[in-house]
Amino acid sequence: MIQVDHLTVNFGPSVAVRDVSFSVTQGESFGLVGESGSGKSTILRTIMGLNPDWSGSIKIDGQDTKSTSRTDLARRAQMVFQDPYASLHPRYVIGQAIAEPMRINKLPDPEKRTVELLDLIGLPGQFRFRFPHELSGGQRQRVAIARALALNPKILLLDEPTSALDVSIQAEILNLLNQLRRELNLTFVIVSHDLAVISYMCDRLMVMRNAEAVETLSREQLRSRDIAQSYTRELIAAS
Amino acid sequence: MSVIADPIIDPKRALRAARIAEFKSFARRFARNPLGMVGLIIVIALLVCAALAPILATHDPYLPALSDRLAAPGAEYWFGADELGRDIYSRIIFGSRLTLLIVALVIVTSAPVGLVIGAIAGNYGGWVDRIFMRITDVFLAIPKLLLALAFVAALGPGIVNAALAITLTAWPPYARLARAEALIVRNSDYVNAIRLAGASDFHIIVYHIMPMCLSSVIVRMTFDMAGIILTAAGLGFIGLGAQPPLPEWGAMISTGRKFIFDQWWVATVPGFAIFIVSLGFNLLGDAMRDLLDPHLRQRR
Repeated sequence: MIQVDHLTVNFGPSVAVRDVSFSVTQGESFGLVGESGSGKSTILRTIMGLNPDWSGSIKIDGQDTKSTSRTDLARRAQMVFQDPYASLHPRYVIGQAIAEPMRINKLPDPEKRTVELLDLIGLPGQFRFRFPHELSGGQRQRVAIARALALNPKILLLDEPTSALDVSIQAEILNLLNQLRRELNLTFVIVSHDLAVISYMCDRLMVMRNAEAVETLSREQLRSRDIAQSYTRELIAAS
Repeated sequence: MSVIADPIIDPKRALRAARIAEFKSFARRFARNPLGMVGLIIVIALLVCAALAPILATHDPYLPALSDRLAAPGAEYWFGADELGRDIYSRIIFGSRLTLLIVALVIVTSAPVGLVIGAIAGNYGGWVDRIFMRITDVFLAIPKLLLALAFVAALGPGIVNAALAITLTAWPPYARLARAEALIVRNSDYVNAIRLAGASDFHIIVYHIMPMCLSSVIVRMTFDMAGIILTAAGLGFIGLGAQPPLPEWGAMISTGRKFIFDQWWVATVPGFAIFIVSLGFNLLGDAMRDLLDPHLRQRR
């Protein structure tokens, strides 16, 4: 579903991601974990085309992202951002924010589908007419998820989806995401610094450090502590 | 709450209700600022004067009455009469139309130009930004009144030319302002999110960046109006703005200059009008800034 080969991303003179490769299969939930600055969010942004300066190859659904148009890419993969306070336009009511991707891509009946999406993420239809500042952090993140699902993507990239939220809300959002993955048959790539979140959500995970991939583990390997690298052990011990 | 229709059935009305509620909370916060209210009242008074000038005026502002030359303020001429015996009060009232006309002309032309240039420069960055901003710098480097003077001198005096001349010097600050906002907004997650949804640059600039620049621009606009009135009066004073017999306030001061020691009211009354109106716009601008400026307003 997603195939990343020898990805290197530069920010000017510094290297944010160095020669990272991984692949994610259909329906899988893949985790990227590591301390802040290790390049995990950069990988997501690069997959979505938000970083211009990179080399290597990224294939989504078998298609090279470099030769795929943005609108085409938009219908295959969408992203949910870390900070739900910054990812919703402050002047748009929730309904407009969710319907906008559908309007841009000229999908039929955006109004009706907005209500369906709100229902899907567990918010009542009246929320369409609220402004973001009237919502709590968890509700905003739900709206951001609904907006990402508006174009019916098969892949959802989640950049620290719960780190800006209260602990009590985190579990709710994670459960919602798991439920959506089952119901809509989605493929997830989740970035987090929190191993607990990753081990709860992901089938496989990749540990990153200083812009490089340390190792890739399955959930079973993580549970049985079948770990090759000492850095990964330190990370687990710290969490 | 029961008045609001079921939003599922009537989405348009519910959307309007949400917008009205938003506006009401804005109005409530505005009303808490007494100086801002004073400014608003002055500006509304100016608008009323301009709209109802024929009703409010007691005399024909253009009709000379030579027997009443330079009459002192009194029952017949509330603010006195000028050197041709025209009622100064009526001329002030009609002059408010000219003032508003110039302000409106300048704002309508300069703010959108600046906003568009700034938003485009900020959104694209790189060489587009560099070219647009250097052009802006060139205009900013020339003293305002001097450029306006040169422009009017070249095109000939008159209200429209004066407005054009002021516009020429008034748009660069808007471009600067809009660019600064756009630079912040274009990297924000909500713009990224909509970019990922396949939105074009045009869509992003018009529907996402410009609305976010708007509040700064409106604040700046309200402040600018005071400056525009002063510049227009200045041009009128040196004879390059509105031409006689138009009752433009700056031109009125200019003719009153000759009599300032003996018939003080001829120059003082229009001067006072300019002062009050500028003050009103400044107070209004201050209040607007307190409410709208994204750098002062804490995250709600």
